[in-house]
Amino acid sequence: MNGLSTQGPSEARWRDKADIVALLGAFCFFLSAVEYMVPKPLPFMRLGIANLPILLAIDLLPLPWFLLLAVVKVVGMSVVSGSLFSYIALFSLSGTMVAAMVMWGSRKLLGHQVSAIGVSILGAMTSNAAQILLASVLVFGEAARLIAPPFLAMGLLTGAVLGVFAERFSRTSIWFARASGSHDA
Amino acid sequence: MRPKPVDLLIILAALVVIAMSSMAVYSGNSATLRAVITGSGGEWVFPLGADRRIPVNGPLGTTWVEIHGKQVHVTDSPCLNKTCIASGDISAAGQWLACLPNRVFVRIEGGAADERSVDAGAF
Amino acid sequence: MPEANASASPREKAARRRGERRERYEALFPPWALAASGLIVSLAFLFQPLLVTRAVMFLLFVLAAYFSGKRIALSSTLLVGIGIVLANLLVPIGRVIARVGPFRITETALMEGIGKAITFEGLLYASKACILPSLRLPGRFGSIVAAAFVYYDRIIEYKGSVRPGSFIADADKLMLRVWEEPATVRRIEAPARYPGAAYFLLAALSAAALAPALLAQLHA
Repeated sequence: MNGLSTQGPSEARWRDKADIVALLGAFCFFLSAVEYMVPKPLPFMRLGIANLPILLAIDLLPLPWFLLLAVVKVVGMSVVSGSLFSYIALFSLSGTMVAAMVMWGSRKLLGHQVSAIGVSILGAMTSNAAQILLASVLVFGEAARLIAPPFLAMGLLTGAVLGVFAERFSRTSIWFARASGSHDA
Repeated sequence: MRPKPVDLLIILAALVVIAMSSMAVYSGNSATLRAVITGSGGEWVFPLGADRRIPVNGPLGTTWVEIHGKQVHVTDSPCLNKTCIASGDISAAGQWLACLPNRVFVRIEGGAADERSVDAGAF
Repeated sequence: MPEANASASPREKAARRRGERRERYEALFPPWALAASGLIVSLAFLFQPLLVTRAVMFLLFVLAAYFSGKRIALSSTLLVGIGIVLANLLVPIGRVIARVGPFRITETALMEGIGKAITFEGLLYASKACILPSLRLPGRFGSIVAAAFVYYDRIIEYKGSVRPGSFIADADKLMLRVWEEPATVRRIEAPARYPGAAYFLLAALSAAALAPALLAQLHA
């Protein structure tokens, strides 16, 4: 015994989608908090590491629960940071929802011809593009396009890194194997 | 773990998007065209992207400049010869319109032609 | 060491005072009523056409955020604001009011930039002042968010190590450990009682925030 029981949680819990959403949501909060500590050139632009649990959830959750996870992430973080009614929450909402839908769509469209790396890059690039578009409308005006190329490049980079991590995690994780097994069953 | 062919295609597409957006944004060609209007009250700048009508005051009265569909023309002017109205539309960098009697001068700047001298007047 | 306590640094004193402000604020306002009036006030702010009124509301929001005991960083607010204004000045629109080298400062672009900066920062401060961390969202969605926070606390308190060398395996262990016990959302706070005057104050503030926007509508 290493403190972790080998059976782990009971069978029923692996089928409890709400519980899985809550756990993945918690990791979104945690990664957001980590991201908060990383200095950034613009205060409301995110690296997007908090989208990692959403990337993992593509193969775990049916669409309604998957989208619910994205909303839990946005709303939970906005309540904690007290930005729920601000543009920041709007940036977070648009970036997260666009990434979630693009990642979901690309996985369902391309199946396992594409790995988590490609899915993640598509999500990160479109998420950053959506946020720049919103920033140009709400905050920076036309000059926002000057920051578009570096932000897209950053999306490629972080998307690729997160994709590699998600791909390896989903292959070796015991938690992931149990959770996805319950989904397929 | 190796990326799949489709992953590589996505990475390639992402690089193309980044390269194209960089060229579009930083090449200078993309700099939006602007109408620079000089009258007796000062100088105004307006991007050609948005339609608007601008009253410009001069010694004779008000000259109306209109930006419409990325083209600029004078719609009304208190001068006698109305050359400025007859000049019609200008839309490219370096082109200009003038109402000499009312001391109103309109030129288009921006884009690649920004550095060039005013060479392509429209009369 | 008694001296250490006596000679608490100004920073520590400020943090303590901020904590006291937060406690007073949270004892005064029920989270739900505060959030609801915050939403009304934010919308009123957003639809307020006059820049002057927006600027005044912005200052009041900063003040409210101060009383709420939230962390306020005026220097970063100023920096972000200046950044927004400069970005808007990059595309000249309107009368040229000054020149800095080849760069023209135009009136319309300047005013738009100031307006956008005030709106951006104002919404943030209003939101800070009216979204308390103790806000519990209703229904099934609310209970999922609450469960997520229980798991979040467990992640923070996790004692095991997560090393770069065995990152994936360690992360998996962390997930299994956090997940081992179901999240039970404890109802810590018995329904707290708030002063009736707080509800009245919130209603009055909401109405006052709506007034300028409504007056402007009537005028138009």
